[in-house]
Amino acid sequence: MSHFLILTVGAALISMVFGVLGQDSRPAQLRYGLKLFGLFLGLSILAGWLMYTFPV
Amino acid sequence: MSTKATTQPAALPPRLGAILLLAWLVPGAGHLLLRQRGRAAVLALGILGLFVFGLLLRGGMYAPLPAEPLTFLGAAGTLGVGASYFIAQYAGLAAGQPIGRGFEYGRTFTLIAGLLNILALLDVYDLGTGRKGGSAAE
Repeated sequence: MSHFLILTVGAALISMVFGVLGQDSRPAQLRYGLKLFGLFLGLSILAGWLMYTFPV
Repeated sequence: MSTKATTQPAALPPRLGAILLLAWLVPGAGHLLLRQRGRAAVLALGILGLFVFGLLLRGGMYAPLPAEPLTFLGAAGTLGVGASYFIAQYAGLAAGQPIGRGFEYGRTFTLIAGLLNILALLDVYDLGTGRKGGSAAE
């Protein structure tokens, strides 16, 4: 299983839980969950690119 | 002249203790008992899904090691997932496979599942005491 797939599944499950705990109404929960999911993926890819510039 | 306000801690609704215990044992059960079916389903799927995914990656669970004090925190956090922790231990899945590719991810996911269930417990408490929308547990 690729690192990206593991990241995507983990981020989706964690975002779901934060979504329902963080907001009250269903549309707000959905929006919040999707926003967190996007941030998880986006920031992880950004962090990966930043780390790529460091020597091993 | 000033009046000193005395604040008494509110007594817990009688059923809330049992609901919290069930919510710890089975993620989502507390919300189900408080008639929050949608939330209960998402929490059960999210928390148990993350825990099982962590075990499938052969990450196992943190075990308290006296030589490494931080592992106590990891074990305490993972214990938050409730009955699944003991079931996984009974099934021999606790150690994981340290040389496997998914070990670090898996172990982190089982820990996060426990921590998320602790957050869900706090939500049950807020719902049960009426601090958050919904009705207090009778």
